[in-house]
Amino acid sequence: MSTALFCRKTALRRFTLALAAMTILAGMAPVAASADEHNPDPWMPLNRGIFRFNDALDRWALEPVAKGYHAVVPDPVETGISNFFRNLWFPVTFANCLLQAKPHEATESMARFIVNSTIGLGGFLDTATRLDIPAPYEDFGQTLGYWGVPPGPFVMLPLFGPSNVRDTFGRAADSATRVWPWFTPWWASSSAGVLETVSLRARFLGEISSLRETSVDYYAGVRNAYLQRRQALVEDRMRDATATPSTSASEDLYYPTDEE
Amino acid sequence: MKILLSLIAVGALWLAPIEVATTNVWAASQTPEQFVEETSNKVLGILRDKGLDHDAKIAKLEVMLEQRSDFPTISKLVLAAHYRTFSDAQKKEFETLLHRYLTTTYGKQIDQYANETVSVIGGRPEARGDYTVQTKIKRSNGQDLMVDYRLRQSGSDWRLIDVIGEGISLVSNLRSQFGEILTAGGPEKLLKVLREKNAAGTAADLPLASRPS
Repeated sequence: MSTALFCRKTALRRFTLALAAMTILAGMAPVAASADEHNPDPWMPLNRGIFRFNDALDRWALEPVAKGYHAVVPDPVETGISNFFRNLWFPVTFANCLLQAKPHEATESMARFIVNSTIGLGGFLDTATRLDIPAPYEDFGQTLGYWGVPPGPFVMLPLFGPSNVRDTFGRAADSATRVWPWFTPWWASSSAGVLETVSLRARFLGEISSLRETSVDYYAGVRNAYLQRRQALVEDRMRDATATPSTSASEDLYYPTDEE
Repeated sequence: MKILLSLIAVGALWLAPIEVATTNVWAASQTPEQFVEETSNKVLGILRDKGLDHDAKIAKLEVMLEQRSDFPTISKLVLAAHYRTFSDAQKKEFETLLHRYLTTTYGKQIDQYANETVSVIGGRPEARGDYTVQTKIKRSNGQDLMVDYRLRQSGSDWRLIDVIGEGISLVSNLRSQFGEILTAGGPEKLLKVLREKNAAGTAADLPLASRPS
């Protein structure tokens, strides 16, 4: 009983924290807006330094561990673990579908969660995808973007990787709204966090190493990809592909002028 | 975590479109959708051809890419404002290097896409005459990829000018990667970097085989 009460208190505190983050963000929006379109990365020297650190850490720690994990764990189990963690992001997706007033997507994410948690044996099987239930992907960074908060300057976060000012707040809010850590002791949720990270990294062994090898400027490639992808997600361009007009910014890409 | 995921999706997406984009068809009466559909089928045909080894497949795809994309335009879009600082000879060399760069670097990944299915899901005319065809690559691991092809008319034919995987434009990404090199070292520096990349790219395959899921 008392633990339940305690958990509820923690939950409340986290919610308050998320609200505080939003308030601060709202205050910071004008500052964030100062990153103009021509230079989304005013903090590049620092960002590049952090990127080198992250990359070294990945090469020497995360990637080798993920390779070992991939080699040892049977493929179906690996997929199962990855599905399990993805299923646990449901509260975040659901909340942000609602925050963006997208009841249809909210329902889809709810349906996925119910199907995968039951028939999918607690999330290990992605039965919902097999049943062609779409997988909405919404998070708090997208919610902020949806309501007009500008991305702000690009930020390379230590450990977490590419982000921008808006998504950094979004990330904090997301991690506070995952729900399950509220009811889990810290050591268990940290261990789960480590496993989730390794499992995610293991899914992209080939992709990341080839990106690293083939890039002419790895940092710039990652930054550009991150910013484009987040913009596309905010505009829901992947969601309903047939109905998406291109923005004027993307049209400029195809008709460069000398002034650029 | 999700941020890492989305970033990473990029890696995969980038590769997928390139090889699918490598064909072109000459029929003038073809709609852009038919053009992309036929392209995908031809590419998948090459990828699944058991009579060809990896290098032969790459070579075949490379020829298609040459003929059927608009490389002068792609070069211009990728270099953007820096294009003017290139001499004619440098422009020519850049086109050749870019072509090689795309086939050697991304070609390494093609085998893993041999079993995917591509379907055209829509298309739209763009404001100034280009056409975007939208496709979905159904992957065996259940993670579908949305890939758009941007086409521009050249005479009566459509030519490929960009590939956009999950919202990430290849042209934009290359422009961003080349931009800082060009600002710091000019055209010669970029050409040098590309020559080295291409030489390294053909020397040996990546040690790590991509897994299917």
